[in-house]
Amino acid sequence: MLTRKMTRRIIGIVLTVALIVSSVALAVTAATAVDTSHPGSLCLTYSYDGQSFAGIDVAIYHVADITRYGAYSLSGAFADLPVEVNNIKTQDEWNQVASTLSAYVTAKEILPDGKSTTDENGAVSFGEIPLGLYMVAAVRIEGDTGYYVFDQFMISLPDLDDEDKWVYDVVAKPKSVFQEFEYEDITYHVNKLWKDEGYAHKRPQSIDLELYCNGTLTETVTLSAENNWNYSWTAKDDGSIWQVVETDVAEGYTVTMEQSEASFTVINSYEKPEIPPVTGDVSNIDIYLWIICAAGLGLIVLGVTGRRRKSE
Amino acid sequence: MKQRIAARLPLICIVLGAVLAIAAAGMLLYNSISLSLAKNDAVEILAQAQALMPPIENRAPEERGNNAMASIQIDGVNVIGVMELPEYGRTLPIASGWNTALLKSIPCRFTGSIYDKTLIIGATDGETQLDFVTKMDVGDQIILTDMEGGKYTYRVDTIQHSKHAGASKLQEGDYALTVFVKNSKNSEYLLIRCSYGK
Repeated sequence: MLTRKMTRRIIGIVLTVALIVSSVALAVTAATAVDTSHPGSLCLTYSYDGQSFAGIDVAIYHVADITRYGAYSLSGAFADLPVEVNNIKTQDEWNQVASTLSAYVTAKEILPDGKSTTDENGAVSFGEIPLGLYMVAAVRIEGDTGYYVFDQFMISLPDLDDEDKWVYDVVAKPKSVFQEFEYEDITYHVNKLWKDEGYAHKRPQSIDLELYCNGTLTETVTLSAENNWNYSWTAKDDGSIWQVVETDVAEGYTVTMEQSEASFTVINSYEKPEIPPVTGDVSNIDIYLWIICAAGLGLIVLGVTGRRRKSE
Repeated sequence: MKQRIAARLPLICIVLGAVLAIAAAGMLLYNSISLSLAKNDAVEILAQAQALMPPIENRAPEERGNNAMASIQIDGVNVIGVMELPEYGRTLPIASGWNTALLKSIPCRFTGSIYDKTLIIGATDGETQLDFVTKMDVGDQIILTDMEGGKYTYRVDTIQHSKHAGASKLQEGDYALTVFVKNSKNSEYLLIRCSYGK
């Protein structure tokens, strides 16, 4: 029979366990659930080597909505684009997403969702904006001997801090490089790569790419097996921004764009997983052919010997 | 009837023997020519793959959302990059998928990816590929460059011997890179297990 003391102890233990469990649950919830009704803000600072850039126009594009659990869903003018924005793990992959989306903004003349100008400290703010995944457009600033380039980049609102908590007021400092004017001819290359092992039969016979220079369409090229899926062109290295867009991505594929100096790589990924082989065993039939050859010669010798005996 | 067959048996042996010997010799000659063509193909594919690569930079394997290795199609062959064995002065293109016919020309990726450290590549010990495989040793370097311009350097940790090269055997252990080759002299497989890093 339970005494009053024992009952109190049991209640105490149960309450303690309940408190621990609920604390853990709350901690997990805080790390995973986004308050989608909470407004967000974005503050960016444009500077290079201590020099701030005032009066710069900065454009942002709301690319995708964010769910309570941090998943992105392409929205608005980006809704039908064949671009994967979830399951991105590395900065390189995010850079590829930004390059790809930036090219589509140019090709489809998508208007920004926000535009503002940097102040004397090079800072620009976007307050009370919807949560989601944003692309901040590239900025190019001409100097006396060259130009400063702030590449396009992706930013999430909210973002996770070091303690895995959602931050709804995000502050960022875009990376930049300084490139001197060269004015020499430079050869640009674009290659087509595929991530579709086991499904190569799904590939189209050819694909069309649009080449843009400073936002203007200059050329449409066709890549196919005939040209080994690559194309080159020459232009002056005067700081112009070149972009490449794949106009009609084949069904079942997504596209990413990579740029490294004067080299563009267009990667089409097929969404289904690869079917791995079962064995790497290989057979060498040469030895069996030698045996058959020897057997054949043996039979010839046997036949010739038999005929001689018969004639004798 | 039996006597007739017995009388013609030597002729039957000669005819049958000639057919077998000519057929086998013909196939051996065909294989030899194919191997010669394969060597030319491999050289051509390697040259094109290297010419089409973007600027190369040293990278470390880093797991991605999509770990599939991108391939470029060169003369109908999907190539995921090149493999260099500097101690032996050999550089070879790598085909993207497992294909025993294509294996005669160039090494083929069996399964896996550089980025999640699961890559397994099959090659032959022919003179156009890893004919020096029996001389390979722990500490040798293998350098892979993918078609996105990433350069990854591996070091041979151990060389195992196996009678078979089934998927489960090849995927044993936690090696960033495995290169397997069938020794044509004794039909044994050499499994060259590598870790990332110099």
